Amino acid sequence: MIEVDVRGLSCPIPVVRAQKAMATHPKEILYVMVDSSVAREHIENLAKKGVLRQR
Amino acid sequence: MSSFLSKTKWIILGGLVFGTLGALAVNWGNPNNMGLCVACFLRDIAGALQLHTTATVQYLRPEIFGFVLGSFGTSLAFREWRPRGGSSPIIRFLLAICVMIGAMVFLGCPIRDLLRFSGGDLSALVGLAGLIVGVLVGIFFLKRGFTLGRTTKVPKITGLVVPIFALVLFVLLIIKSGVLSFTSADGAPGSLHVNPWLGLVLGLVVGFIVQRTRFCSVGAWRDVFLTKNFYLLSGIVAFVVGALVTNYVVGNFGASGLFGLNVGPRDVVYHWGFTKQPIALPYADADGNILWSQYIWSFLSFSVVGLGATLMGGCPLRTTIMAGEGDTDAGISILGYIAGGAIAMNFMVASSGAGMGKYGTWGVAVALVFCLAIGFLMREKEA
Repeated sequence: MIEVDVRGLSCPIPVVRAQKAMATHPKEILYVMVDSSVAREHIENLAKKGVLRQR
Repeated sequence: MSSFLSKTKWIILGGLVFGTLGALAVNWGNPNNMGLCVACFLRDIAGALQLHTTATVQYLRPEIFGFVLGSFGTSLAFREWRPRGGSSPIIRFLLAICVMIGAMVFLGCPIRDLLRFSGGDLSALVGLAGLIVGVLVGIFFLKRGFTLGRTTKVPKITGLVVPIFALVLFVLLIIKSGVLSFTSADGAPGSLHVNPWLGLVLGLVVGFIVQRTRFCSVGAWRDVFLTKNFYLLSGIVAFVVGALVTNYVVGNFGASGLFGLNVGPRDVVYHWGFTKQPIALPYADADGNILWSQYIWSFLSFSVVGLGATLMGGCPLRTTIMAGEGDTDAGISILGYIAGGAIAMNFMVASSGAGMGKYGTWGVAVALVFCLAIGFLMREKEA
């Protein structure tokens, strides 16, 4: 499991970091730590897209 | 996908309401094609506080206080109010000055750009192109690891500063305090405004919409190119549709509108075209001649806005909303916008309906170089 800590980072950097982690570790489970609901929504969207793309 | 649709439905509804209000605010008293403009309104506030003394643009715009207080109340109610700060405040202050200089040369923030288009001003498209290019450059920096650093939790009282400030200024407006300077010349932008209470309510409604939907006029383009996410962009499109349809329906494009509605004390007549648009570049003389370089500077000035706002994490409107949510760095950015408005007026950088300011080109050049330098220099090695 890969941990990505994006707490305290302002939009859209959390998404950029998560995106990079998804690209470099395509098979791993990512554990992304966020501290704002905006970042959470953004990363949830990204995760859903990622799943769709892998299929 | 279904959750995307249900969320998108709300931002489309919010965008339609926001765009409609933005168009109607002109009929209710605000300047033409400037129903709501965060940059213009902060410049007017700077003038009312005598940070600049350009007599035509001095008024304490209540809509701004509404944005902040609406977002403050909404974020409290939805448990999203989070006092935080400490992410390179001085860099944000300077970036905000740069964004403001870009907006003052172009004549408007990205929200006004959309309203200008919805009022027939095709030169708004030049700005939009510049904005998108600026966002793309910003994305390049983001992918390179650009960051202004992490925020930390700050004491509650710190997060309350901006909302309290907004409230105090609104009270000063209502009691017509003598410390404020207001434009007196009839017909000048500063003299055109809606009733202060109406302005506050407009701001509160928009503050609620933007806080809930995350609406952002710069983030919309950023998300399209960065993550192929069209959620925010659907709000922008809805905003333009709302404003454009409203302008036609209420007769702002002439005739008596579709239903002969009379929606406000001001008659507004818009026309489609690049020139002779309200408070906008390019300036055309009586014979219709224009200096073509004005298009280049319109484009470049809005590239600065797109780049600076992307680096700061949101457009000027979004910044007022984040400040209401307790983001003190956004609060610093608002102070930077106000300072930028004062600088743009005091140093003859700002444009007006009569063309570009004497030092407008220099202002844009310096702002662009500064934003690029920050983009290159501020990066953090990822863990």
